[in-house]
Amino acid sequence: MLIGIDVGGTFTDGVLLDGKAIAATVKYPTDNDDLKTTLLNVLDKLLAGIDNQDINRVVLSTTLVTNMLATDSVARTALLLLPGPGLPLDTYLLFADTYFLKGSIDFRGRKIETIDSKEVEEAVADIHSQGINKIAIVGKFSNRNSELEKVVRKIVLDKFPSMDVAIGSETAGQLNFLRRIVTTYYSIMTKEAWDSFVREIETALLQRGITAEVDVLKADGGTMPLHLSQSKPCETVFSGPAASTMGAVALVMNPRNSVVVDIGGTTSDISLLIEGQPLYASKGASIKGHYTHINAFSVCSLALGGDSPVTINQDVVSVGSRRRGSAACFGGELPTVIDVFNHKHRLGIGNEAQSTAKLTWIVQNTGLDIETLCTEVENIVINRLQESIQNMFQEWENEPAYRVWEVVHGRKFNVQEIIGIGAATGAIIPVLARKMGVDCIIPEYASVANALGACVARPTLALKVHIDTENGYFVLDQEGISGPIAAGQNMQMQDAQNLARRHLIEMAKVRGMTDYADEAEVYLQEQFNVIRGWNTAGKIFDIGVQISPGLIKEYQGVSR
Amino acid sequence: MKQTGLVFFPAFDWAISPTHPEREERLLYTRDQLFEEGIMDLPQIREYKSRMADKKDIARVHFCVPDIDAQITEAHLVSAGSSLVIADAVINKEVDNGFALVRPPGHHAMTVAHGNRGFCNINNEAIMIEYLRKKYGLRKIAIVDTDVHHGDGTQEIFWHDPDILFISFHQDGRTLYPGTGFVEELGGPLAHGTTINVPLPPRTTDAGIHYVLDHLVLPILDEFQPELVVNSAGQDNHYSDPLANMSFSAQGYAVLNKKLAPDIAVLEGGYSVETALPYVNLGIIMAMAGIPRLNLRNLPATWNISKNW
Repeated sequence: MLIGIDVGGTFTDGVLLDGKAIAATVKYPTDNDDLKTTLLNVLDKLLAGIDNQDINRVVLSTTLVTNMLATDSVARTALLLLPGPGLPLDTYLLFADTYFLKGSIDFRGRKIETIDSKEVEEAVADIHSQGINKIAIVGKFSNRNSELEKVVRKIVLDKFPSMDVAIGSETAGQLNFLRRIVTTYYSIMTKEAWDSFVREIETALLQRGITAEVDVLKADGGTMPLHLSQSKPCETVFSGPAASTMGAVALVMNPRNSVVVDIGGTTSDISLLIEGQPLYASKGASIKGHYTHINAFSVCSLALGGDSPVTINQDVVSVGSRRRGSAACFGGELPTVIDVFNHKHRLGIGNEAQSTAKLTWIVQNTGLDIETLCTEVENIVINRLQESIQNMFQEWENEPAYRVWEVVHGRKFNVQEIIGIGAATGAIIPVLARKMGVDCIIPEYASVANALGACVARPTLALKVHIDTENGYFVLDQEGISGPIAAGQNMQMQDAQNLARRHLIEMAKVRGMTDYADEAEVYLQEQFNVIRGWNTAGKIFDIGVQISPGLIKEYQGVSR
Repeated sequence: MKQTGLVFFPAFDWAISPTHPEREERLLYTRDQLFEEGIMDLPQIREYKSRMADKKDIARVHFCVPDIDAQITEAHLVSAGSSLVIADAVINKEVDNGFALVRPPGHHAMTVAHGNRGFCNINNEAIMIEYLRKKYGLRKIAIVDTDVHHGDGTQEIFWHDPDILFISFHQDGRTLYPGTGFVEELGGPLAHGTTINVPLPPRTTDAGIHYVLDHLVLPILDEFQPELVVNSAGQDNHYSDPLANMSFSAQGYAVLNKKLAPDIAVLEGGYSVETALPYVNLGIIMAMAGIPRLNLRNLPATWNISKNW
């Protein structure tokens, strides 16, 4: 049996999956000040009446890190940056307690300037004297050569062995210094709190006699083992929308071009599936306005949900963004979006008469009648959703391309269906689909799709290898792994791909995901001849391989 | 906030031939530098996707022998089309100015196109200018060609056009391809003085080029009062360029673009792929976006790979 729990801002959802049957579902209010207790309460409800030994896997999707960062309840952290030449330094002055150091690397991984140890020592002494014990060390092009970052780390730890230190090359090895700074900074900042959360969860599970594999869901819709998540707490941000999208994938299980619309009480999240595969955000997850190197689904969030209140002011109808209570049909004071659809389409949600009554009440003494009101609200809601969806298509179609064939062949998102999930979806999505002229799917269990998504998401792993045969090295964008390329080796594309695959398989082994390693696919292959004079001095390869998001092998769909 | 539009089209799958200077590798390190800097994430920068130009855009400028298809590849259409993307964005005021960082280049291509001249088949700037005149009714446009080679194609196309001011400074034609661009080349009878050429001796430094800029180019621009200024932005005046012999620096290019303040820049030549291009391109973008250049790299001339592109 499998368990999936998704902690949301308002509610925490859980499912227990037994073969093809959803054996139990739980919906429980989230206590944002004590997520651990919330999680365990949901877990205990799911476990009621079953033998804990029968649990094969538990997947958690939690907002812990997101909340910590959003509320600034995090430890003070210093940044030691090695920016080298380029943009002015204030571009990198994103956070307080930032120190700039000498030392730089260029795009080929060559050392251009060395470290000034005295300068590093002084900076660290200053950091220590301010009572800060977490440091992120990040260098420009450290993803091509991590030597300088490691030298700085050694100086720091020699002096203050108890400092918590993270370096950019081991945290976020993709090109983009700005995002590397942000990712490394937030990672070391949240690590301690995340670690203690992990320990508490592990203890709690042991107490319940659960020995099954425990995974956490990442923003990229894949899972990682809880015990290996310690160095990567930030990858758990935005796992909520990822859980919902994976839930839609799991419930529909078809390789079409779809729009997933998750309409909750106060927000709607829209994501896209291209031939059944979730679309990634091209710039990575954005945390507090900063782009990061964290892979995340492309999600458009609207402050518009089933409980958004409907108001009339001088005959102008508007739909508010702040929830002011539940819908009238569930006993609320004010009519909401749900009430409008309930009345207009005779949906019989809750007490439909209440919907009609409250709507009648707000049109009183205005120049509007109830049918006009409903039409206007429906138009507002549907137009906003449709506009957001169109914008997402357009953004994807207008994604910059750097190769001739990509520009020549272009891309067009031909949507085939809308998949509605979330509590308020049943009322709104059919109308939207009709307007857009596409199929509409509202799966059974749509209201716990998020927890199901967490439950059956498989592990993901992606890595990029950069190979420079002239300079005789390769670097991975994961965990700072690098190594030599023997001189004189006549390396070709196939060899480069094999090298990438070999490393993926090794990392998959460590993460206990060997089962999926053979499904790894090459998603990026670039090669460049390095010509000096009229001779080929070497080759540069960039190879990306990944085990993309998908469903675990044992999942065979949900039977009705 | 001031915003600069950017189309980056390095044509990573196109080369004239595998070892030609105009090959896939040319903008690879520029890609590395720009992406590592996080240029596209900056609020001052708006990145656009390239597109293909229409054949009709080419036919507005060129007479291709025997026909357009014989003279171009898809890469040429995308390179020209990318300039049009920037042109639209600037004229429609989506951005304040823009840079088409694209290859293949175009400034040696003349009206009658019957083969590759100096790595160019069709003229990106000329195609863009005729597109702007046709679509938006612009009249007076100035092109300043900052490539080390004389922009002979652009000169020829607008030779008789008094509404297009073409200024080229370049390494003396007696010492470098294409061997033209002397001071007496001033334009046709009805457009005399709207073509200006400044041949410069080899090894001209920042000081020399800026002298020409300050005392000739900028005053003439002031007098001409163009509606639009285009920088035909070659980068081979750089001291490390393998095909030319000048001594200009990345800083020098950045300051030039700051002073010139072009509405649109279009990449032309520049073949010092490691030592110059990453920093010159960064410098041009920074200058156009109003980002201070305090920390922009200026390599010491002693750096060991500087001449060994």
